[in-house]
Amino acid sequence: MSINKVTRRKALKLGVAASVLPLVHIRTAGAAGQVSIALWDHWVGQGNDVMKKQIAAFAEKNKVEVKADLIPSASGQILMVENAEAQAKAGHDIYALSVWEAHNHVDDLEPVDDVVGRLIAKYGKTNDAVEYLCKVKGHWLAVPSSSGTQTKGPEGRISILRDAAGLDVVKMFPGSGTTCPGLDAWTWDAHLKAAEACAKVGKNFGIGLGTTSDSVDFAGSLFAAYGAELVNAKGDITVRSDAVREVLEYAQRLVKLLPKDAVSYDDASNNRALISGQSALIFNPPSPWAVALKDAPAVAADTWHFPAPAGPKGRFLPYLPYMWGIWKFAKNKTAAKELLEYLMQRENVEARENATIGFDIPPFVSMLDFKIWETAEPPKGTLWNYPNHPWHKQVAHIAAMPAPPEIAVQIYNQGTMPTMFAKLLSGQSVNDVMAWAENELESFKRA
Amino acid sequence: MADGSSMAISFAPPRRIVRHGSMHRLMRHRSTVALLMCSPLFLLIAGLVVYPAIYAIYLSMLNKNMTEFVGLHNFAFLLKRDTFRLVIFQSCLFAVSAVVLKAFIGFVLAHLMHNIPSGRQRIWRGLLLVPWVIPLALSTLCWWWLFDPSYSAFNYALNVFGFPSVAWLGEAWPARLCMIAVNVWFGTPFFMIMYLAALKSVPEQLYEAAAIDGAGAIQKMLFVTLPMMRNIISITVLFSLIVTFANFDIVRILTNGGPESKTHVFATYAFQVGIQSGNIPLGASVSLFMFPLLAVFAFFVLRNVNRRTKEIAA
Amino acid sequence: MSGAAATAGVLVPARRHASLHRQRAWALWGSYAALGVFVIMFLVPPFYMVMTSLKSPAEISGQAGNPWFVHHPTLQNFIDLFMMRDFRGFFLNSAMITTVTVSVSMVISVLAAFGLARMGFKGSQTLATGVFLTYLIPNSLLFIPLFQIIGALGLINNVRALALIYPTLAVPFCTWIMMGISARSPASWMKRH
Repeated sequence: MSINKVTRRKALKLGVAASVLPLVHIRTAGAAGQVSIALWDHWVGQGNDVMKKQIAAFAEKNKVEVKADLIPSASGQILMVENAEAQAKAGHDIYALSVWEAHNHVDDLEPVDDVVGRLIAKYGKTNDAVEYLCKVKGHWLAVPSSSGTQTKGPEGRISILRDAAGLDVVKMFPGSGTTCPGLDAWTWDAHLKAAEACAKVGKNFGIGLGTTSDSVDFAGSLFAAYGAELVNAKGDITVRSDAVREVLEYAQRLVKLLPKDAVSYDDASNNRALISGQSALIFNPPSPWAVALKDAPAVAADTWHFPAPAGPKGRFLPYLPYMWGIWKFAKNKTAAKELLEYLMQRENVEARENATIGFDIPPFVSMLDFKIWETAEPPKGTLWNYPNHPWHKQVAHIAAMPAPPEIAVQIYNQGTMPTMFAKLLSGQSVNDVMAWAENELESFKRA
Repeated sequence: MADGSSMAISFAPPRRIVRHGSMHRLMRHRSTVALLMCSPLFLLIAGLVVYPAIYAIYLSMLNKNMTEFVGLHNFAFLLKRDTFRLVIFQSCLFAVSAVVLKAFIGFVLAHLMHNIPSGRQRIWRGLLLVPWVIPLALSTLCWWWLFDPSYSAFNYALNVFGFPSVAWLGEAWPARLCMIAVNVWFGTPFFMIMYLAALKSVPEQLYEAAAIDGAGAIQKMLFVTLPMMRNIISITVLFSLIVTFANFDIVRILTNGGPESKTHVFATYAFQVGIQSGNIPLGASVSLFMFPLLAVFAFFVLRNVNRRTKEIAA
Repeated sequence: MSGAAATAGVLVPARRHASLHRQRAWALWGSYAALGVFVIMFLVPPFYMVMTSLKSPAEISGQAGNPWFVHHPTLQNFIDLFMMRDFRGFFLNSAMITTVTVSVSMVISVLAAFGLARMGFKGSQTLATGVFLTYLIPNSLLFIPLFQIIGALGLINNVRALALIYPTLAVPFCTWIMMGISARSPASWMKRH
């Protein structure tokens, strides 16, 4: 995810500063109890401000003292503190967990079926990826959150795609309304053709073959579209399948069209490729667009967000969620649950959404109609197709799904899929790559 | 840090000046005082290093969910993995070559510095210490900008002189060399300053004596400088080797282990399997992998240092 | 010593002296030149850092032109930094932690070094070796148990925790350096006590 990296580097620039947690301490008169929450430090500062206000209001109303800490995902800090707290059985009551962390801490988390049950009753279903990541053995272990949750569909340059590849993305995916005339034509084959055309004019697609999440999420979306699973839901290794071969053959053609430095891409590289105007398309949340508004206005005004390409098995949108878990050792679980339910109320989610310029994606389908995505500009409507609307017919997907999560987390975090692509680029054959992956996966199963 | 070389003489055995009567009580008294003086150090180390270390070793011997004691199974498992064997190779390559280069360049720099009049040394020393003073994470970030393939400042310079661009971090070997280069850049000043201090403490009479015996520059180096600096060289190399084997920042920031895991070192790989993939015991095993080897190495180096110290003191 | 040797001893140095002098001058200038080359190499990244700090975000993300120089220098980055309310807090924190770390490490290591090196007691040598060996456990592995300890002390999310952690990491090496120094301090100092 672009943002993680950007803030990571920013935080590193501040040096020691990164090691000091910003602290929000809300004390209300006559507080009856105390509850503490570790929040993801949003890269859009206003998002944090609104969150603080909401928490203050909650504290005031319920006569609870709330201690809220903002923890940056920079240099893995949010992960480290989380693991340390889980080990020490001490720390916050509520912790902001990313992607795989509910599964990584099954034994440490308090089930929150009641909270999520009430939220679902009120707002309807969440998407499948959320369920896969938050629900373990029939129990919700974390409350899906909007803060930090993002999708990584294509984000492309209107003019370059139109002039070089003949794709008028604004017409194909209009910035309002509930139809996308160009949806059916937007397939992985069309994607490959466009990548080729843009590479010819020196505007390669900025797709990375590193091991950070942007690279992994892209590869995951491609694998899923062909029905290719490295490990199936039962936990069997299914590398040697026609579907995987098909993906690798596709990738063999694609990797040659990527920037020379694709293998050393991290989550900031693709952002910079787009902002600097060197790239026609990247897969990312709208953060580079938001940065370009200030640093490269011409690029921003020429950027459009749209759904993922489709393959034989459907259209899969990379989805990277954050969630809030309550530790089993939490001292005030009742207040923690109340706070989480309150924070996920529609009006609160929307207020934060407006503050974060539409970056956060709510987990409930019914909340995808917020005005902010329609009004954000320039160009007007650029964010309209960023959230996963029902008429996009996309499946929210996390790479390596539906493999059993304890294996999937390793496939994801060790970047097995993009590494397979990188090996193709270095000249290895499809069979070599499959053999390598098989060997890796066997060790993941045993680990 | 006026005199780093003096570490060499740090293990002078207790000098018993008087050995009878009431002085005995004083001796005992002195030991007690000494023990008291060391107690803050021991408390700190016991509480914040020894206990965590034992805990970490214990952690490395658990299964993934930390519910079962599995002994050395994690280590056996790691050794069977191709990726991990690659990590061992890369860590050793990184640490050993970086330390050798740091020691060598530091040695040369110390001599160059020793050659110029002491009055002028201050400014040169200051300039050469700059890399060591900037926090490593920060300066690595700057190196990353310099290497950054799509807009590398180094590539820009190469292009100006008509050379083609290099994918600094995009291919295994250039990336490995870049990592080593950054570490050498960062660590050399430390060696330089330690060796310079050692050089200054070599008594001038020894050189004069050697000169009278007809020794040339090379012989002076071999028979005076090196033996006098042996302890400081051992200690700095040992210390640097341990620290370099544990280095995390450089690889994490420059390549995050890529391309194709060909630049992972112990620390970054441990982070990936331990923290990111939720297998803390396996991550602990990765971190501790070099522990036995380094411990044995350290034991022998320190024993030799002690022995030489005694010889000098005797 | 024969007379011949003595005469040679008088004659040779005169010639040798001149050549030695020339040699020394060469060595001196050679040293300056070599040091200069190293200084330039060492200062490339800091130079680039300074240049980058003077660029506007737009210039950096533009990725065009010579990256080694600033085309539209701006102090905006520094102004923003100093105007940031948090930054002042961070800066004060850093300054405070540094001061505490340095003083605590100094006190502990000077005391211990003196005890170990000068007033050696039974097993002091083994202990000194042990102090050094603490570095064998990578810091990255210490953080989980350290977190437990800090938690037990009620110092989680507290700047003061750093004043405990940093000296721990610094003290062993400081002690070793200090041991060398105290071993060499004049022995007469001891006698006066």
